[in-house]
Amino acid sequence: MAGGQPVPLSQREFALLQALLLRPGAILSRGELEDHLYGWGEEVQSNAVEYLIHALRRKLGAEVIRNVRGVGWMVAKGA
Amino acid sequence: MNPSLQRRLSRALLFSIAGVALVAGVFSFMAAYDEARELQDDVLHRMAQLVERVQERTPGAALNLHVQGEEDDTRVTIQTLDGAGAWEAQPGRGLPLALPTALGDGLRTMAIDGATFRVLVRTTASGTRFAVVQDLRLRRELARYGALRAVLPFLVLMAILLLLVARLVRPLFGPVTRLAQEVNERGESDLHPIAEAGVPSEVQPFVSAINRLLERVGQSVRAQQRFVADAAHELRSPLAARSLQAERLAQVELPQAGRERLVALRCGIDRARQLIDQLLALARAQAQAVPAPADASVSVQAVFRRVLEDLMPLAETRQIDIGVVGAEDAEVAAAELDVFTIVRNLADNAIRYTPAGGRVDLAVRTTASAVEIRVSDSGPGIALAERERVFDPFYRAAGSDQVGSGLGLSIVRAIATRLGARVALDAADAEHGTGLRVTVALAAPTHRGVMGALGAG
Repeated sequence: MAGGQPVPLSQREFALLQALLLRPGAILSRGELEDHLYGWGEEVQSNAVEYLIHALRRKLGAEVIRNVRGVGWMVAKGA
Repeated sequence: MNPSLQRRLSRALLFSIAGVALVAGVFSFMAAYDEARELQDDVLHRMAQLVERVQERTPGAALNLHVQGEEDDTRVTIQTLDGAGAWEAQPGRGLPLALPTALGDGLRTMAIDGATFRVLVRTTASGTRFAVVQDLRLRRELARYGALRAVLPFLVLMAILLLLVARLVRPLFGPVTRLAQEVNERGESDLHPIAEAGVPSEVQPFVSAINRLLERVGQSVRAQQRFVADAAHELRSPLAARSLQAERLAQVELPQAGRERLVALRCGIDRARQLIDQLLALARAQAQAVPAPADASVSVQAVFRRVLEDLMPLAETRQIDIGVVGAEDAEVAAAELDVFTIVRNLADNAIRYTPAGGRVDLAVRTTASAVEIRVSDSGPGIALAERERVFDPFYRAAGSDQVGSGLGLSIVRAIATRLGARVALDAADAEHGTGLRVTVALAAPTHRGVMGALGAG
């Protein structure tokens, strides 16, 4: 992906990226992203989403996932 | 100062009442005065009769008599004219009176020793002539006193009438004052006719005329709005055609310069399309659209998210940090499109008028009476003098080089007016007077139970 080179992603990183890529331009809140990452009854770690986003940005470039202050995260349309 | 009907009516009534009371008073004074004098003449006659009767029964009885009541003013003197049984002289009381002996029978007024007297001369059966005399000065005083007593009730009544008139006239003008208040409190787009029920019949023609005028103004406003909507609609198709032609031109092999100019052309077409869209939005907002269903309610945070999704590309191009402050959500009683259009236009303006690197915040809070949506930015703000004018269509703040439609705030104001919401502008940074903060106060839905349910979800 990045510059044509394959980038290894963990399962959860992939799940989070997929959730964002399914609706480019849409903002997903932390709660909605957590729903994608965890099944019913699984315990949610408090800063899991931030951690995964940080990891994805490091691997794919900082501009790919944008933080919308106070609301959530999004992948820009056409990115 | 304009003439006041109330004051004129009061004054006219007061003068009429005072005039009538004065005339009535003068007449009753004169009538009472005359009556008192007649009564006193009557008394003289009756006294004379009494004297005659006494003379008939006991001829030769003393005729000279000085009758005096408890008060000095009821003094009557009876005196023979022939000197028979003459008075003992009583110089202190001016007796006997110096009456001329040649007086004929009858009633007359005459002067004796510098004073005026009323004198009745009679002759008894035995041929004795006598006079019944009363001092005229005392008589006049008596008459005047009686007349004044007759006038006094009039004066009291007049004072009461004056108070009554003042009390009665003021409430009569209440409906006129209320009418003025009702018209005064109207918004500029509130053109429904004034209720004619309960309006006094004198004012009704005026109210009817105003209602006809309101109707004509309403028709002309609607015609104007229709024209704007129709014009914008008509402009859409040719513009869409230009857009398509530009699209097709882009597929043609073009030199570098041509391609650059094509980009500028497409940008221009885009801006024109946005302007027309805004014109249509304004026309829609101004039209008295079907009111939203009574149970319409929309989550403000959901609207914020849609607006942000819409505007993130613009915010990123202009390097504006746009976001939501606070996690609290609130429901407002309005159609979603209306709330979306308000927030989108406010946020769009904030992004456009804030310099690169600036910040735009969206926030919502619930007050006791309303739900307040706030959009604030770190831009230059709007000078106090311009705050009312920025709501005018196509008005742009001085010194701004923005390419917005100039319709954003007009649309916001139009929708807010239709929803009965208030729009307030002030400085986001009150200390330095910079930054713009727009507050829109919307009504909260009446059914509050829904909020909790959605908030939990």
